[in-house]
Amino acid sequence: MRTINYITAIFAIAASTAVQGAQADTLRSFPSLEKREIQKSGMQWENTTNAAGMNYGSVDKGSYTTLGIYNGAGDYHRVQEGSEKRGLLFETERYDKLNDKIFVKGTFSFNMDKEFDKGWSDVYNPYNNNPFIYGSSVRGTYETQKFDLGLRAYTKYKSRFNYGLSIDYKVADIARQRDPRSRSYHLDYSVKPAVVFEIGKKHTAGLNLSYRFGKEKMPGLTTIQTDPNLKYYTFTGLEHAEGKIGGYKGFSRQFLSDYYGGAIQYNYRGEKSKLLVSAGFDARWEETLGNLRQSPGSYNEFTYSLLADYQAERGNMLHNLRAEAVVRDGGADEFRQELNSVIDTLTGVTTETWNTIYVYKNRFVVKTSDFRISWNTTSLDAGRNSYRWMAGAEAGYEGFSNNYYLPHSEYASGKLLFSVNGKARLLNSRKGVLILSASAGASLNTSSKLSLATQSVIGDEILTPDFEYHQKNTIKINGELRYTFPLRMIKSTPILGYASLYGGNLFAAGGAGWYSAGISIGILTL
Amino acid sequence: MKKITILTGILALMLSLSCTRELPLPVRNLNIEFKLPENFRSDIKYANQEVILTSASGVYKFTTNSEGVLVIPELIPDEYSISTSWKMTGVQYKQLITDAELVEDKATVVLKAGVGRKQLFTKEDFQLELDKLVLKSLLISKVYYSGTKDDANKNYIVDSYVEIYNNSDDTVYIDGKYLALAESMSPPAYPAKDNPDYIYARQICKFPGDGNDNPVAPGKSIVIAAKNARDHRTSASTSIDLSTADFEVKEAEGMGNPDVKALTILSNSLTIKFFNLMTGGGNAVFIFETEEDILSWPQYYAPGKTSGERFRRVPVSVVLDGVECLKNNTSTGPDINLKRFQSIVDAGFAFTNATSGYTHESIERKVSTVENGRVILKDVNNSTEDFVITLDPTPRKYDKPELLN
Repeated sequence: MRTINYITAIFAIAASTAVQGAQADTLRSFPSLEKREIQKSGMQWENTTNAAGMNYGSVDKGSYTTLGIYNGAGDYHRVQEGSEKRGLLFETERYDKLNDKIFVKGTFSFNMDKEFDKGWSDVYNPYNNNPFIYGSSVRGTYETQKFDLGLRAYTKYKSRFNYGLSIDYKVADIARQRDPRSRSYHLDYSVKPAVVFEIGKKHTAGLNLSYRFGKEKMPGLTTIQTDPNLKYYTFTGLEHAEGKIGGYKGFSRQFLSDYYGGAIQYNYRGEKSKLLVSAGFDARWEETLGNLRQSPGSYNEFTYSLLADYQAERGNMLHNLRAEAVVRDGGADEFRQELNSVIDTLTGVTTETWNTIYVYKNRFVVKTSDFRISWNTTSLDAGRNSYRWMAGAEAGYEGFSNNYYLPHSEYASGKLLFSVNGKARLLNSRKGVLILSASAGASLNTSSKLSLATQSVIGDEILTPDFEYHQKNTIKINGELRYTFPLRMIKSTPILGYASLYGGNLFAAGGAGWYSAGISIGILTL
Repeated sequence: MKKITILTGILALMLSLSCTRELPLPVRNLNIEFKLPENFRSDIKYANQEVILTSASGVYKFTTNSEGVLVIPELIPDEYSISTSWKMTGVQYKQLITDAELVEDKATVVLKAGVGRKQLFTKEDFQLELDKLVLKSLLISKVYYSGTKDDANKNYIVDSYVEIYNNSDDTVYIDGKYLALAESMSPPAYPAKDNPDYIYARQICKFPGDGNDNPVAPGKSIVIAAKNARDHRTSASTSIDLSTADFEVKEAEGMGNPDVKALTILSNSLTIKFFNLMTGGGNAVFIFETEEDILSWPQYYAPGKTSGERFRRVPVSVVLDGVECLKNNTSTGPDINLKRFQSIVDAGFAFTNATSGYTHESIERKVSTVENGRVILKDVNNSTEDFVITLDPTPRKYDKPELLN
């Protein structure tokens, strides 16, 4: 009910400001959201991790700010996910320049999210990841707050070299609202220095390096739990987990990860077409630590990525063909440790340390692959500041495999993805622009395998239902209606306002589904 | 175009490298040779006997070959407790030995080997020596110490008890035997790994009687209320009735249930007058028999201390049975380094799931077989194998489904 009230209020504000704004001004002297979309689609290098390459694109100086609420719910979800999500998202981004040589793009977002009826995981990402996770089988509500800050700075020197730097800083807080109550704190920051070199007038090569640090820490659980037989589970991979009665007492854990990586790029810019190819590599090393630095194991992961983006103009038509591939290869080393206690017989002080006595190399192995190819075409207006319609199609493949060795268990699935999408401008008056977007897609399961060496509650309660989730073919439809309008709040500053309403539904075989809907309002300023 | 080809080549190379992860390998063709006692005939081998290897992740059973060697084709590298036993009658035993050892024909003789937490991470063949035991009849069959919640949801910890069972087909008298609790200091004062020949006892109780006063019939047991022999169900519905216990640990003329015989503490490192089973563990409980005056056995402070508790030293050779109940730690599980019992007393360990107690979990010995209505309890001298956790701590009850698995 509260969500409905929010939506009604936001609609009322948007409608009243739109009418008021439209009476006062026309769109001609205002920033255009469509123009910004076209300019951003031309910023090919923004799709890479090389900020220096943003030098080869241009987006008008200005800020774009949105505030929205969303809601999604249904019964088509994995066991370690909730059956409903509600949230609020605030995002803002700005392109600007510090001087004629140094340009910047800044972003900030705040996301407040509530996930209902979630169980078996008190970690941020339980899937295809570090297997040493933990959680309670009792399903509850999780509240998340995330703050993301980003900065891209790049130079526009008239020389063959240009430089860039990306800095991202993210913090998050996830709190479980039901006993046993966990609270996780997240920190994630990265630095990516970059350089581009003009090989010729039309040819550019790029290189960037990256370092990222990640920390996810759960200091301990609090509870007023009265059920003496309540268990808390610690996982080691696939069906292997230990459920201990009262295991939440005194339990704490943290993941500390370092990522090192880099990417190389090549960019061709012709008169009417341009091509950008980027190949990247990231290596992640993650420690898992508990009390007294006890560790169940470590995790490492290598990510290989390839992006090819081709854009061409034919008259008023803008074509964009993009191919992306991301392959991840992760492995967890499981430790056998023993606690060594040394007593100082003089002082009686005991020193305790955990010693690793055996390492199972890559006992749990994760592989994921994600391949996409998409085509989009846009029919531009004569002034190239707006578009009449857009149409596109995408095909892809998503797959994963999890293997646990000694004894060998395997869990794998793959699916083909197809979708079409389009946008049409329904109204283009001096008072506002109305755009309808729609997309439809399907996923087709191509393979799936669940072979567990041992019977366990995790196999029965998580992996088997998740396996059924992956086996289901799905159809998805989405739609959005967006209205932009001039808004003069400050007399000397033209502001473009917008309101958007979107929603969709996913239909899975067997009658399961997941709906999503949301509304957002925002402004675009110069 | 050439550059795209190079980039594609680099990616393909990286993908192929990603597929070459080193995977964990099992230990292959591990040989464990079992060595019989020296008085056995040379042609007798420990052949076709079951050997149980228990790790944190599973229980594995193997059989020795005709040469008395256990050949394990593949084994997950881990720490294992290993236990095996060969049970025979006195008559059968005397046919296998070369000397004229005096053993009653009706006696049960057990050859057993047990080792706790043996690291089997690589193929390193080894020998295990089999120890000979002429089985006594009495076994500790239940140890209940976790406590529960009372009807007001408060911790309830006074309903602990120990049960001793006659596993033989003859009546046995408990008179003059001892029930004891090993020290449970943290850190451990006298862990078994440093003390192979002695157990250091915190409390020792002596059963009253002149030899014929307290019989335990075959397949029957006696219940010893550690703190209070009353019907605890009146306060805590998940608790038990101890008003019918055979003994209550208290002073001879002490308070308690007047209808229940007193079991007095003869040697006590504490000032408390009850049997000090701790709700979270660890509790290493044992029974022993000796003709010696135990009060003449020496007492020791914890190493490095000159005050506090003094523990009486009990020779392992007099122990009839022992059950090691380790404390379960939240993140690490039970720590075998805290064991007070040598493998000859208990090659394994038991523990409750609860780390602090109040879960009405009881540690109870499994049923091996039922012969003519007499329940015979499992005894391979390894409480990891012999015992199971049950949420029904009712004493003298041996038809609980979990005991039959």
